[in-house]
Amino acid sequence: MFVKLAARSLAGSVVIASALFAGVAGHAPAYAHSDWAAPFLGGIMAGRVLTNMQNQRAQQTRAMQEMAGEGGSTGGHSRPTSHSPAQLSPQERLQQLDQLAAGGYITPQEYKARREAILNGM
Amino acid sequence: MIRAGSILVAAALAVSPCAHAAAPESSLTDTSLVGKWVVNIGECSDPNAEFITFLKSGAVESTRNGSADAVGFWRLENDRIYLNVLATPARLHEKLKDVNGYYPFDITVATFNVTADSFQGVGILDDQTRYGKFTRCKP
Repeated sequence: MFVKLAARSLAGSVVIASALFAGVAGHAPAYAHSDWAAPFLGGIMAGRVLTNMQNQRAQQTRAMQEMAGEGGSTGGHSRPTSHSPAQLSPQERLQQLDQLAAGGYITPQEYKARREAILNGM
Repeated sequence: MIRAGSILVAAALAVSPCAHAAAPESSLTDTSLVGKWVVNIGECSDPNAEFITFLKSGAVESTRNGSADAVGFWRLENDRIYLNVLATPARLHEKLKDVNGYYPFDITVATFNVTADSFQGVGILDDQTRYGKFTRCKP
């Protein structure tokens, strides 16, 4: 899903990057003269995909947090922040985890580790 | 792509280590660009290096470790190389090894410090930029 979403924007037009420090995974400076060992085209493309995936995951997390916040709200005002994971019941956290896994936003390994952590915390 | 315009050129010149050199720069042409170029610190004799090959037909191929990273089309205009390529993320990065499918990428490479057998460039794809050195490999 992430990649499909990412691919839509990947085909977009090239914009000038005043940000000269966007690298693979958005962490390492991509524009560096000392970066001779890094792949050129492959690095650019991988950085774009990884950044898009990270952005999509962040958006998904925010959306889920907002959904959780709206579900618990009793007033007319929506809270700017939702429950933190620690405030959710284990059942809610497991449901949230299941949704993340079903959406492909976390790996099976991450799912298993988080699930065990939730269950161990009960 | 046009909106990258003058700012892109200015950015490229600003970071060029030889931007202040007195010698006039050459420009790439459709003819001179054709051929196989090794990227950055790679050597032409190293099959595992990163290569980019511009064909006279307008096709382009980027390879690393002997495997194609991206294939597609190239176009040269005003010292900028426009690449419209197709790539599979699984080949680009370890973190993407499980991502299937092929996706289009539109990349612009602003070139400078052009000589007969080398040039430098800033590759841009949306918010991603990367600096590269290209050295011509003899056929």
